Amino acid sequence: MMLHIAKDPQPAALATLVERRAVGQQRWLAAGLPTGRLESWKHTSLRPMTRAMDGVVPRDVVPGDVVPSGETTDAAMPATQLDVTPLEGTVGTLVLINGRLNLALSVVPEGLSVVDLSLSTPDTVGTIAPIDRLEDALSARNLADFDRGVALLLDANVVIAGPVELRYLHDGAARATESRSLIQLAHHAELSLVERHLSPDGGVHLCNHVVEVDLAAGATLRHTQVQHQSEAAFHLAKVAVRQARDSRYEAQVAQFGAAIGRSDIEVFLAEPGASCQLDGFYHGHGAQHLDNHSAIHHLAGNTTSGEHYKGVLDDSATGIFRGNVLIYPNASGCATVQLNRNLLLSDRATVHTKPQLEIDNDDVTASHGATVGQLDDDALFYLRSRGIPTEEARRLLIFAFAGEIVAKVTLPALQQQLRDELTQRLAGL
Amino acid sequence: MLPTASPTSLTTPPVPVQAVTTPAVTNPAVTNPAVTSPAVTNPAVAHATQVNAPMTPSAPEGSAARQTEDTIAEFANRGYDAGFVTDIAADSLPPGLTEDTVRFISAKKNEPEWLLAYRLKAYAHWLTLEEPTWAHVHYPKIDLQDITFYSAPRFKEIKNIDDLTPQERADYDELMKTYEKLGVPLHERSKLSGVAVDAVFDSVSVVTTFKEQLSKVGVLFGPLSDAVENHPELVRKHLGTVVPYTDNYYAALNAAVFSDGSFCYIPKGVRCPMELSTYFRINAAKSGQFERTLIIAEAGSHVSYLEGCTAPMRDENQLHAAVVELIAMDDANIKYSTVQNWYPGDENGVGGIFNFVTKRGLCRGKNSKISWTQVETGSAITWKYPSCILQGDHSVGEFYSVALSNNHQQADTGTKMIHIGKGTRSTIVSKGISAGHGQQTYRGAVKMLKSAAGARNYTQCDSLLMGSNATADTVPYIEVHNPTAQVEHEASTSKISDDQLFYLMQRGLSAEDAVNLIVNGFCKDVFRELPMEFAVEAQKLLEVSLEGAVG
Repeated sequence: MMLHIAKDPQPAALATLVERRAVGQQRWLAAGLPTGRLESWKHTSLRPMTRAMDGVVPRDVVPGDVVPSGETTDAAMPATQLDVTPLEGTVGTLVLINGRLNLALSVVPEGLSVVDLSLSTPDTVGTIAPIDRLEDALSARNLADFDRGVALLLDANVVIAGPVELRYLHDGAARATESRSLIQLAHHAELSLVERHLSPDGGVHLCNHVVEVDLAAGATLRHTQVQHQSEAAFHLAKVAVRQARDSRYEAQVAQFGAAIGRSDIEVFLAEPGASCQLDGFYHGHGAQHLDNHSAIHHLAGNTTSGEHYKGVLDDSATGIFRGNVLIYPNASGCATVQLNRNLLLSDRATVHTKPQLEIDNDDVTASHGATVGQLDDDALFYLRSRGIPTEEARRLLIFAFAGEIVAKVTLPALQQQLRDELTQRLAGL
Repeated sequence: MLPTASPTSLTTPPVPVQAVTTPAVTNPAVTNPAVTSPAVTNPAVAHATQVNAPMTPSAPEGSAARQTEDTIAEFANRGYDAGFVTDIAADSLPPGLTEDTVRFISAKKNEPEWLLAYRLKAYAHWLTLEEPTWAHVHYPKIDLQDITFYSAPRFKEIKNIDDLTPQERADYDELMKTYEKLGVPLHERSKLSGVAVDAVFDSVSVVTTFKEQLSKVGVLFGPLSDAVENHPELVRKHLGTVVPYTDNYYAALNAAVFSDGSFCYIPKGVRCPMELSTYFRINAAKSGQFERTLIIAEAGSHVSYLEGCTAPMRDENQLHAAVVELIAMDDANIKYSTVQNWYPGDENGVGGIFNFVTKRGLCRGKNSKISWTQVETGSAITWKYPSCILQGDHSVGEFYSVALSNNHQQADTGTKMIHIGKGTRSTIVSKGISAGHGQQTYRGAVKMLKSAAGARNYTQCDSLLMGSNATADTVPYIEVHNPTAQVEHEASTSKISDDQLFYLMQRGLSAEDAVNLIVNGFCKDVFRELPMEFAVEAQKLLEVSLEGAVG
C-alpha cells in the first residue's frame, strides 16, 4: 500500500519556502531525471529530451546555482507571435511568456487576486505537490528551481462569472523553464480556468510545469488544460490537487502538441464529500509521445471520482494512459469509475494503458475499463452504405469518438477551437 | 526461446544489492554434503493450535451485522484438513545451496552430462540475480541456505516393492495412506479411474498410475526424471524453451535445483483417453519443493491436466518454486487446471507456503489452444502468472482464475497474454476474493505485437471484498502495437452487500449459506471451466477457506 503519503499532505508546521526548496533540491539531486526503471516512467524515456536539450537541461544542479532560465530576455518574443486576443466568452486572460507573467498584456477579472511568482512568492507555494515521493523528482526539481509563474487566489464565496484563461506562450529559443502556479480557492469560491500552452514559433523548448490546486470546503474549480506546444517541444506538467470537504475539481485535458508531452494529475480527496472528474483526450501523430498519468487518492470516506480518457494514435505515435485510484483503509463509501479507450490508426502506433485500482476498504464501488482497437467495421460500413466516402466516414467516426470528451469543455469558443484543430489534424487521413 | 516473448517484462529492474543474510545453520552437525538419512520426526508443530482469535467484532451485540460477522468467523475457523505430517524415513540433503547441491541432485538422478551442464549454467546465472521485490507481497527474506533442496522417501531408491525392508514397507504404506487421506486415487482400481495420477512427494515422484494404459495410445506420462532417462531427446529438445533459466530469479533457481515433476507427451493426433493429474505434496520440514512440469502436445492432440497441492501445517514458511512449461503444436489443445491448496498459514499469518511459480504455455502451432484454470485458495503467498505466448496464427489462450486470500494470505497473481500470431485470441477472467486481512492483487499483461493482426483480447477481473481490512488491487498492463488488434479490459470491485445477504436470509438461508451462494455465483464463470471432479472440490475448498469473511 502506498500509505506513506500522509493523510494531510500539508506539513503541520509550514516550513519556509527556502527550506522546502532545499529539500526539493536534495530530492532532485538524489533521484535525478526519471528513467524507465521507475514504474511511472516505464514507457516514457526522457532521453530524446536530454539529447535535444543538451546543454540546456543541467544534469546536476548544485545548491545555490542559478538556473539557466534566470535570464530576462522573455519579452524578446516578436510581437507578431504574441497572440493575446482573448477567447470569446472569457472574462480575463493572463498572458505568460515562457512562464513569466506579463501583466501589461493581461486582463485580470474583478475578484481574482493575482500574484506574480517571479516577483514574490507566498509561503504556501510548494506544499501540495508532494515531494516526498521518489518518482516525483521533476516536481522536486521544480520546487527547487522555479522562478516564474502565477498564484491565483479567490476569497470565500467569490464566484468568477466566466472562464479565465492562463495563456502560456513558449518561444523556441531552446530554453528550459521551471514554472509553477498556485490556485487557491477559499470556501465556496468558484472558478473556471482555461490553461493553454502554445508555442507560436514552433521551436524546441522544455517546460517543466507544476500546478498546485488547493480547494477549501465547497469550492469548485473547472480546469481545462490544453497542451498545444510545438511538436519539437517537451512538456512535463504535474498538477497536484488537494480537496477539502464537498469541494469539486473537474479537469479536461487535451494533449495535441509536444514531442514528449506528459500530463500528470494527482488528486487528494482529503475530506468527505469531495469529488473529482478527470477527462482527457490525446491525439498523437508523427513520432509524438503523449503520456497521461493520474493518481486519485481517496483519503476520506464518501468521496467520489471519475475518470474518462480517450486517445487516438496515428503514424508512429505512442500514447500512454496510467490511472491509479487508491482507496485508503478508512475511506468507506467511496465510488470510482475509470475508463480509458484508445483508437489505433496506424500499424506503427502504440498504446500502453494501465488502469490501476488499489483498494484497502471493502465498502466501495469501483470499476475500471480499458479498450484498444480500431474503428468499428460495422459502423464504417453503415456510413459507407449511406453514400459517405470511406475517408470521410473514418473522419466522422474518429471525430465522434473524440467528441465525447471535447464536449466536456464548457467554453464554446474553446470547444470549437479543439474541434477545428482535430478536423485539421484528421484532414490528412 | 522466443525473443519476442520479453520474458523479463514482469521482472523488476535491478535494485541495489541487499546483503544476503548469513544462514543461521540450524543443524550444525550436518556439514558434509553427502546425504544423511535422518528419519524425519514429526515436528513439534505438526498442527498449529487453533487459537481462536476472532476479529474483534465491530457490530453491536445481537445485531444482524454482528450475527453475520460471527457466522463468518466461525466459518473461517474451520481449519485446514490436509495439514498432517507423514512420518516416514527420508533421504534429505542438509540445508544450503552450493554448486555441490546442484551436482548432487543431478548425480542422484543419474542425469546425462547435458542436463548437469544446463543446471550449472542456470546456477551460475542465478548467482548474478537479485531477489525480485516488485510484487505487492510482503514476507521476510527467504534464507535459501536454510532450506533443504532435496528430500525423498527412502524406499524410492528400491524399484521393486517386494525388496523393501519391513521399515520401508511400512513407510510405503504410510505414504499410500497419506494420499488416501488426501483423497488422491493412487490405486488403479479406484473408482475415480478417469484420472491418471503422478504423485510428487517432496522432491520426487513416488507413484504414477495408469502408465500402461496411457502408453498403449502413445501418451508418455510420468516423472520428469524417468523421461530424462528414457526419452532424453524429447526433454532436451523442449526443456527450458518456454521458460528459459534466464527468465527470472525463481525460474533460474528452479532450473538449477529442480528435483522432479511431471512429464507428459501426447503424440500427434491423440486425444488423451483420461485426465492426467499431478498431486504435489510437501512433507519434510524446512524443505523447498522445486519441481518442473513439461507438457508437450503434438499436432492435433488433446490433453486435460490437473494439478493439486497440499502441505502440512507448520509455523515456518516453506518455499515452493516450480516451473511449468506447456507446448502446443498445430491444432493441439492443452487444458491445465490447478486447485492449489498449500497450507495458508494460521489465522495470524504464521506459517504457510510461499508459492512462487513460473507457469507459461507456448501455442507454437496454428490453431493451438492453451487454457489455464486455477483455483488458488491456499499458500501464505501466491505469486504467479500462468501465461500464454500465442505464437501460432489463430491460436487461443485462456485464463480463468479464482484466487482467495483470507486471514493474512497474500496473492499477487494474474496472467500474461502475448499475442504474436495473426488472429490470436485470448480471454482472461479473474475473480479475486479477499477476506480478513487478505491482500489480493490482479496483475496482468496483454501484449499485442506488431505481427498480431486481428488479434483479440477480452479481460474481466472482479474483486470481492469481505471485511474492512481486506484489500484488492488491480494492475493491468495493456500494450498494443497493431491497429487491427482489439483489447477490452473490465474490472470491478465490490463487497457482499447487506441487501444481498438480507434478501437471501429472508428466503430462509442461513448467513453462511447465503455467503456461499453469493461467492459461488461470483466464481461461476471460472468453476464452469474446471473438470467436474475439480469443480466440486474447488467449491468445497472455497467454502472451507472463506472464513470470517463477510462484513
